[in-house]
Amino acid sequence: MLLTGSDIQAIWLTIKLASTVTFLLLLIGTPVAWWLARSQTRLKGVVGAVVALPLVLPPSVLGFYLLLAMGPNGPVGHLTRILGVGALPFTFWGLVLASVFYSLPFMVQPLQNAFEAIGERPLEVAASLGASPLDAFFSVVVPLARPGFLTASILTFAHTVGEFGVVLMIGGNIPGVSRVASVQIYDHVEALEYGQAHRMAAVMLIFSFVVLLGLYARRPDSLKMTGRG
Amino acid sequence: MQLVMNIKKSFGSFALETDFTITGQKTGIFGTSGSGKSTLVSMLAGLVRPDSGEIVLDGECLFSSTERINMRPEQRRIAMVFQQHSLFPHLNVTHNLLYGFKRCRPEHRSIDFDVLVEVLKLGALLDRGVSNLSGGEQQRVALGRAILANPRLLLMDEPLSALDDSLRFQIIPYLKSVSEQFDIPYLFISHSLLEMRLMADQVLNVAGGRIVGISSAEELARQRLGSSQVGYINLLKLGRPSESGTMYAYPWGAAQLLLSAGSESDKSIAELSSKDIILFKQHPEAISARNLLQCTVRSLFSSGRKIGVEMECGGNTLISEVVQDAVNELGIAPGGTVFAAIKASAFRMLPG
Amino acid sequence: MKLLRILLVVCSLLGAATAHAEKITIAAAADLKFAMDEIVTGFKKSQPGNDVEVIYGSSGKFNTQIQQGAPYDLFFSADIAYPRELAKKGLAASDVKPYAVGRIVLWSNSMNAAKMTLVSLADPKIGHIAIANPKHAPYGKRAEEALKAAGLWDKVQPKLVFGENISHTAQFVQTGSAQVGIIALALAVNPELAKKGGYYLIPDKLHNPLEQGFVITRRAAGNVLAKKFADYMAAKPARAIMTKYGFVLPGEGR
Repeated sequence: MLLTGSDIQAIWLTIKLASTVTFLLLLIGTPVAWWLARSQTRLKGVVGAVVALPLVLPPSVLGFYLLLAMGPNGPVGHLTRILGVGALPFTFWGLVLASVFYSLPFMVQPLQNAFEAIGERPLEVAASLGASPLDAFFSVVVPLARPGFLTASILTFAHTVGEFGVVLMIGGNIPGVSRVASVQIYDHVEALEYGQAHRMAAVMLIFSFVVLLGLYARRPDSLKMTGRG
Repeated sequence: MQLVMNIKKSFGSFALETDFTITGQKTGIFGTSGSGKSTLVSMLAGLVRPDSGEIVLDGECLFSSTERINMRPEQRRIAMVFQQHSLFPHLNVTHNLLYGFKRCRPEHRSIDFDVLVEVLKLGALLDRGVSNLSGGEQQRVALGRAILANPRLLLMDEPLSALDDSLRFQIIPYLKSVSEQFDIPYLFISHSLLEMRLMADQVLNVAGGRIVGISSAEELARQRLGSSQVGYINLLKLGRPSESGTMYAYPWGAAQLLLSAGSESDKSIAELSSKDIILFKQHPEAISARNLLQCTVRSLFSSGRKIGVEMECGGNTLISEVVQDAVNELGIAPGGTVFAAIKASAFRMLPG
Repeated sequence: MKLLRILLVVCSLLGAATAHAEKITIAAAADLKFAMDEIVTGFKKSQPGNDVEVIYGSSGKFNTQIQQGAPYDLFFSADIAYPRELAKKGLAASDVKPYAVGRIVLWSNSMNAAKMTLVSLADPKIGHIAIANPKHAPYGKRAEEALKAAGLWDKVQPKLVFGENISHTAQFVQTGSAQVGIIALALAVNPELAKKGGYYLIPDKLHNPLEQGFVITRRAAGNVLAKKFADYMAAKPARAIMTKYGFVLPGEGR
């Protein structure tokens, strides 16, 4: 076996983290993206900018402030104590929360684009045929935006896998809890264990390539469908 | 169907204001683009909210600003057929057709799927995806889907505008027959006067955000004789033609017309502009026009600078246009006899 | 053409002006931050017209970077092993000189660490203990050694969280996410952290000496200013500053 037990543990943890984050962001990002695609209020610009913030903030800076916020004296820390779930730093769910925030634009923006491309017409048709807004969302919007959902999920998953700065800042590098693959590679490099670093990096690279290949090699049928408005 | 629409709506500098009550099964809404007719139907369907006023359909209030009623579009049971691209691309023809049907309450379901498929001749298309249907097939599916939703009113917003001429006239019989067969009243929106005459019993004439007139399509066409570039279009119902030398002889009521174009159909409709009919007081001895009909003047009407002359020719009605001087010189008056000369090439067969 | 000639003249003037002034770049371990800033300020006063730039970071990273040709003239490492490795590879232009011995302390933001000992770490009230990553950070390695020597490693291991370097470890404690941490004495005495609470000095017999050393890199061979700075480190003012910031100097006990 090329990889050590702790390497495999790190990869497994990474996949678990990325899957959890992708699932949660589908639940959170979909209504946000729908609102952004449909709203015409001025608040839309503000919310859109907030969602995009993680794109511009350096991950280590973001991680530092998330650490402050989640710490026992931070607002999130206060909240988690009141809710009785304990402190979040150095826990898996702390990483999940940070990653959800950090990967938010990768879920919301492709979805928003997909929703905007659908336009008003299919919704008007569905309403005139007796579909409630929720019904129309699931029977028309979701199928039409399917390529958007796929893109958003793959990007979110891949981005969480590749995330490093935020995890390093708030994770505490605990095996099985917060030592994800990217951190593990970094540790190998820092400890001059280049051979192990190379092997793990190769695994990550191949994984990412396959994921992205899946994304880009897909038939670009989304535009054709949504163009029919 | 009885519809009361008394509403106001403004967007920027454009204001729409209507106050009308209509009854009847086949109503046209006629106007140029930008006149406000699409907004009008969108408000009726509940897709656009009026600023104020009320909408009452068959005694049920759909919208009232004073009573704070605004029924949701999906509850109004008003189906729409749009100009184009309204089929759901992720569903095949059958599932498109059934979309509204499934969402219709069982007590309202009176239309049989198989009968509708038969009427609209959709049987061969049922398993197909919608993206490779022709424009005309798509509109037939969209129409069927709207009908299967069992609406109490059908709105058709320029349903033929995206189709080329030959398809347009193929679809019209379907539009009329489904409404008649399934007893669903409709509002038909178009900027085409010809479509109005083929589809609507009464026409709301919309211009500049106001209803400027309610009349029959026929009356509207006569009113516009003087202002229209093509004059008044006579629609002649012709029988199966027989060859006559280099031309074709068509039965037209008790009369016969010579046209340069042939047809394979037992029934066809030919357009003839009022401008293409020349009137003579007496029988001209020799003229190049191949058709010369002896007609009785029924009435005269004025439209702009033109005078419309309604005549009875062998049991048929024909309208010609002349200027006032000609009326005076020829002494054209109701009850008098005139001869109408029409070139064989002046007729235009409606496709389909 | 005229513009080009003016540009050439300006360039040659600039070249002439900078030819006199020298500049050196120092790579220094993060724990030196406060002490080194003050030393450099003093050194610059004695060398008007010359410039000294300091970059702080992890010693291991600097070691790798210098091997890959990074433009640092002097390298102050938190672990003398790194400059020794450079010297062995022929990448040094001077002997490896020890400049300080680091010490590690227990420090807390929420508790009085002055009243603690290593045994206190076993207290169940303490949920997380931050140390630098022993895998590659010298301070983390010493912390691990000390905990093992005290027989506490197995008890506290489940509570450990690992900082990327010693200042990141201090951040874990500063934000309260970890109740206590093992950090460098040099950081615990800096005013920002000192005002939060006291510290417990971990006996140096519990771990290998944290010998810190520096070297002039091969790139700066013959660089007069670099040599001057190396000499300045051994002079009195610099040694006083190092002592002030909690470093134990070679040959001096504490």
